[in-house]
Amino acid sequence: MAEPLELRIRNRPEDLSPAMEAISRWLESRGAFAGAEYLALLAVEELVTNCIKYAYDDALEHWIRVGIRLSGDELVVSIQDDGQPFDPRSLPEPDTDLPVEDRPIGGLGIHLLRNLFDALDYSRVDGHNRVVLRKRAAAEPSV
Amino acid sequence: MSQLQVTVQHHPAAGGGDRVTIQLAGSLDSTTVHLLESRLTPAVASRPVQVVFDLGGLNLVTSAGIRLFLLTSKQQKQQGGQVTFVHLQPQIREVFQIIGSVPGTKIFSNTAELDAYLIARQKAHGSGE
Repeated sequence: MAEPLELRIRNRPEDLSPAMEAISRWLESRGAFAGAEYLALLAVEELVTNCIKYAYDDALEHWIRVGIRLSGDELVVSIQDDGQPFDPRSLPEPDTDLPVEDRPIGGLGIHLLRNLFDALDYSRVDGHNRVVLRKRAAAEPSV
Repeated sequence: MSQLQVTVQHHPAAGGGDRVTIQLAGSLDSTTVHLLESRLTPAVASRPVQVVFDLGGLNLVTSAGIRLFLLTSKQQKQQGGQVTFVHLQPQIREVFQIIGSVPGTKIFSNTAELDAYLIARQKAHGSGE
């Protein structure tokens, strides 16, 4: 299995962009499957932004750990933070009976990730939230 | 740095009024969404009848960007305007599909398809009078 990319991102919005650039470069250099870069960037932007905005009720510096791994045809994105417990799976699915414009806008990012990835797992270990997202490349069309 | 380029163009709409095309390139995310917000306000001040977002150069849109699209669509609908999206890359199209169709909003593959729709709509509107 190839070495994963491991990043530590400070809980400051301005630290997000350089991390996303590093993820792009890393995935490109490893010839990741089509779509992997978009998914990884979306996941990191949504989850790290949530974390920076909502996970901490102090003004201290915290570090959010991001891991990106390609194993075979699978992309695995993991995000770990020491903020307040938050299980993204606990958010209700949007009420699809309501017109989109009338639905509450919170949770939109998580909704996207749950639908775009094959799996979203969460665990709370030793005071840390850990979210792991997995996506397999679309199968080659069979001959 | 994630970056976003915003280009705003005003044209007369086929049936009168103003058509605003907003071309986006780069990444529309939580750090760049404010740039689009600041360009949108003056762009729609003329109460355009059509607002066209050209997403051909956009390679990432996150929920922060989607929220602004939804808000703009809602505001335009209230003012009798219409919002359309053209040139969606496959992954952005997938994101739009997950969100679901937005009332008062339409998605087109290209500007020719958009123009054909707008002309047909104009004709239907004209013949109804």
